[in-house]
Amino acid sequence: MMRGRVRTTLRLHRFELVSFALAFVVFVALAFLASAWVASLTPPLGCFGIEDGSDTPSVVACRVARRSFDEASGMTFGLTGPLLAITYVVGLFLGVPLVARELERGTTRLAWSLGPSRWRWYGTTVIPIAVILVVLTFASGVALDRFFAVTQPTIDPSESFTGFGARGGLGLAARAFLIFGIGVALGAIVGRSWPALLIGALVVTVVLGAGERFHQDVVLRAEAVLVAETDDTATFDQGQLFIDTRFRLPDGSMVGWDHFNGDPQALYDDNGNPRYPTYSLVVPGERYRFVEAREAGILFVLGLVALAIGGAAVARRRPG
Amino acid sequence: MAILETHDIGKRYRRGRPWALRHVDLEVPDGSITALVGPNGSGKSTLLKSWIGFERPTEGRLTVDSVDPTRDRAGAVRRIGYVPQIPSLYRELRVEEHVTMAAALREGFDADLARRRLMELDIPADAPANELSGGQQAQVGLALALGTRAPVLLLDEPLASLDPLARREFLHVLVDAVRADGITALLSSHVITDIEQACDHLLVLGGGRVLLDLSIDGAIAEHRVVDTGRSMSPATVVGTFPGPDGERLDLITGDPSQGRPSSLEEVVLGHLAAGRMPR
Repeated sequence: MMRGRVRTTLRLHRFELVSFALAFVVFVALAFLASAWVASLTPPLGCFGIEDGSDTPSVVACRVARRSFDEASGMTFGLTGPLLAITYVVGLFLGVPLVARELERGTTRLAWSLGPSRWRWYGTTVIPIAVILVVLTFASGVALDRFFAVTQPTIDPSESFTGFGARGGLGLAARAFLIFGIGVALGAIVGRSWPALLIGALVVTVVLGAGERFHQDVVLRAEAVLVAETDDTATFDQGQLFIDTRFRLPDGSMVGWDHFNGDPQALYDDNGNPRYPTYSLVVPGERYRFVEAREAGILFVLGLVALAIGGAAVARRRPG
Repeated sequence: MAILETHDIGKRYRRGRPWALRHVDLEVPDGSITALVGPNGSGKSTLLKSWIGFERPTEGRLTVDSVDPTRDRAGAVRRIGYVPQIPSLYRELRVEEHVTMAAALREGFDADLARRRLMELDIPADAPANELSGGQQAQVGLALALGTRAPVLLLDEPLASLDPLARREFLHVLVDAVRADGITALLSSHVITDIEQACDHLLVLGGGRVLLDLSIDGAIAEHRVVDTGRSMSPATVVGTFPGPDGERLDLITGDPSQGRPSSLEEVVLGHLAAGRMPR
């Protein structure tokens, strides 16, 4: 019985599903192929530290290898944009029409008069599409993670915040799921696809923007650590997530930029030297996986809340 | 015994707007095919949608087989097969897929019955819904509603967009099914000849209230028609309406010696005309 309903749902949304699935398959496959190609050109890790102008055979070899590697990375980097873009928009394009199109066409009159439980109708409509969405976007995140790993061979992607939010299966699938939930809920409330899509784009932008800000300014700031800044750039850990700059006053207290009322002159003495020791407030790269998993968990829960709101709208509203 | 009832129900879509239905008390006899007649905006669709839980009355209560849809919508839906005004088929799906979907949505759905009825009407199972004629789409809707094996069938002007032959076929299937299964049908329609052909009970709605609630035979027997101004006491003039040649006619009740016997159409016209007059 359930299988028949799921089959119907997939059939009804076949066009969007096939279009997006094809796009994902093509771009994910290209991303993996590009990763394999770039990986085959990766020079030894020792080549990445060389800033030597000499022409010793080993330096020249490194320079040639680096050039090929950089060219390959640059050529294939363009793939990440479309893959990331469809990962973010697929949720809205699959989510909004699920209920809205049925309301627009009046098919809910038939479905809701046949099925006594609207929640069950809603579940069998939403869940199959949600599962497909999560699988596709997870694959996209994994492909982007792999591409990042081969194009940044000096960085351990599992312990680096570089590219945070633009790679990783869990994180991107969770974002797509939240966007999908918002799309479904708005479609159910508004009852018309195009207006819901436009409102959805706005709502998603605001929700993700505000969410990122809250995550960074409140959650991550609370668990960030202070690292003294030095002139030695070699000691700078690229994997850290920078949150803020702090200054240690002579009395030992730590203050931020706002303490100086935006006057940068107050930070330097007459000779242009910093008056106060400077620190960076950062989240260490080792916490990347934990932070990614925690954020994904929160986004999944918010996505479920959005879907529950959509379900409540379906349960209460007129059938179009 | 009544399977569909309303008790003083009223429905207003927004505060400050006119009432779509007001103080409606009616009962639909069990096992009957009842016609629900009324002009556009008289509240027919609102009433049908309220029974299946698509609308919520602003006041009063209604029941379907003793179940109040405002309290137990799922229970009410389980007791109803519904055919909407506009066939609401999925244009992406074939006829057979609609039957499969109905079976997936409705426990106890009799897919074989639905398929049999469609086959009898030569509606191909593999035809896409959007390639069916209006009449065929209505028949698919009726077959799905009958497949629910619900004790009550609500039909919201399903004949409105059909040609005469398609209407005749639709009503034939409906009457056959109702008589065979002993279910109750409430058919909202404007077309009086269709009602005469298929129904045994008549409800006339006008201005959001019930104007007439009688058996078809009783309605015809109790009314007579006279030229306007010719009725004499103690007959009561129900309403005045234009005749086929533009003459003014009065529908009267209470005196079988006056005028001539009325047709069902004249009964409906007289009561609708009465419904337009301020109370």
